[in-house]
Amino acid sequence: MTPLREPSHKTFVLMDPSSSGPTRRAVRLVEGTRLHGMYQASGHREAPWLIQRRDGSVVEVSSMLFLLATTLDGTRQPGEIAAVMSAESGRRISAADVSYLVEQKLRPLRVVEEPTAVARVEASTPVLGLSLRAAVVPEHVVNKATTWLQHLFEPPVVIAVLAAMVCLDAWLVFGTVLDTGVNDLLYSPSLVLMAAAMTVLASAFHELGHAAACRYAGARPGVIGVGVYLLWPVFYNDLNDCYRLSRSARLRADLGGVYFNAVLILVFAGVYAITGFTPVLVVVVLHHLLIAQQFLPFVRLDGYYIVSDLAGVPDLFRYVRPVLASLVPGRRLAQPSQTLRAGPRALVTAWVLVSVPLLVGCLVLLVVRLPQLMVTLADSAGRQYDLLVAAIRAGSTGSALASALQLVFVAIPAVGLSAVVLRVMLAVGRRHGRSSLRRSSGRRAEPAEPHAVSSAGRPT
Amino acid sequence: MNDESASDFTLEELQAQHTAELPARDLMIGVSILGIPLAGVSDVGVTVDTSGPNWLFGSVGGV
Repeated sequence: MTPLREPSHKTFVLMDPSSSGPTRRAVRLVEGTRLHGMYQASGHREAPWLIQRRDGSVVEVSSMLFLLATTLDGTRQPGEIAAVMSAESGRRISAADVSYLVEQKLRPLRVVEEPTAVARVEASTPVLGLSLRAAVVPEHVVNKATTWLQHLFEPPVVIAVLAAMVCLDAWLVFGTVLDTGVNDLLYSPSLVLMAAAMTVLASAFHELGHAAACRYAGARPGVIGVGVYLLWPVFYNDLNDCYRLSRSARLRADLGGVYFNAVLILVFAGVYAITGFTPVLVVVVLHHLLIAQQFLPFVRLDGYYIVSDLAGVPDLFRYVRPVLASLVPGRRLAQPSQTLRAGPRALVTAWVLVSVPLLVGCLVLLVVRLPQLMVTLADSAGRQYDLLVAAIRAGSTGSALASALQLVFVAIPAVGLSAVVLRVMLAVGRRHGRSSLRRSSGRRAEPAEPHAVSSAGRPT
Repeated sequence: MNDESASDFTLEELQAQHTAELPARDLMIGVSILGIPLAGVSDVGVTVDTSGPNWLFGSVGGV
């Protein structure tokens, strides 16, 4: 595992470029910052190095910046740091360079403590990222729960679980007695109620699987919470600490969720074997769909992270624009893609070429089918509303709750679908508006350079 | 003694030092599997043998 280095937090001296001479002011790494080391099995020609901020988020930097961060021990002046870095890198670096790199590179990453209180800079929102997140299970509870659960990743246990799953699936696939459509769930109150409860249970257990795999590898899983992803409510587990693990350990953490779903499926099969309660088997099938859904690599589900870790590229969406741009005849390979090794570049390119048309296609399908879907949802909602009213009149609390829950289940996708379509239309409208404005003002569109810096901060 | 003003690095090299924020590694699962048929996959059918996995579980269970 990557060694962890805890920096000390004493003060050190940095030249202030705005003054005529060296000014003493306290500069140190933010307390709680962790220097993890090189990103393992990176797809880049020059592997990035990882620094974890106090809030748990992770940034990647060049080896030179990481080396600089390790020297911020609170005792060295820029000249001394320059001497250390020169000795380590084999190239001479000046004290002014050190000051420049601290001010222009490390400080914007919020890993260097500010001399005075400054306005908090919000982290950037990733493309198709999680929103409206709220922690439900605190970190220490997650870690306590995974103390025992991590043993489910011992190889003999894994082999036994997978073998049992193969047997169970063989029996499910070759059976022919019960034939039911998934759509029937919309009109079957008791089944929906049970499936909903089991799905919530399985989802929470799924997240524990990620956490347990993370813990098994020696990293510390974060909170488990709820949020909204695309149009669905989701459970999530914060696995930022997994960035520092080896590729195989990261992949184990990616697969830990569906592995725990498999464990739960076997438990359900056991319940069926003991009780003979048939609907449990429908839940088993639903959980297979849940697993299949998780392997979709196009949005940030488990499959996405699997592709990401296989490629050694933490943020695949960062390469969408460069890869698409490189398809234009006569255009050179865009800069981010140039830094990738041949194998990972091929994988990332394939992911972009499959994902982008598919996501666009899904969106088009969604828009085209929206009226029909809304009719189905409205029909189902009407039935459930009638049942709800009848249950209330009959004084049947259980039936009323079941109907109310189903109304919520029907409303979630309806609201979500509408929100997605609305957000996309607004985004397209804003982009179109900006393009029109630029054309009318005669200005040329500026290329996106999220980390471009000015040379003004370099002391001379 | 190290000359603090001497540098082998050009400004361009310093500017090119890579930094990037990694996206939050939130591994998620939807709690709304019922959304699958609503998202366009409306004709999925499943087949379940309810005669009981007798060969798997022996004489226990089964319908």
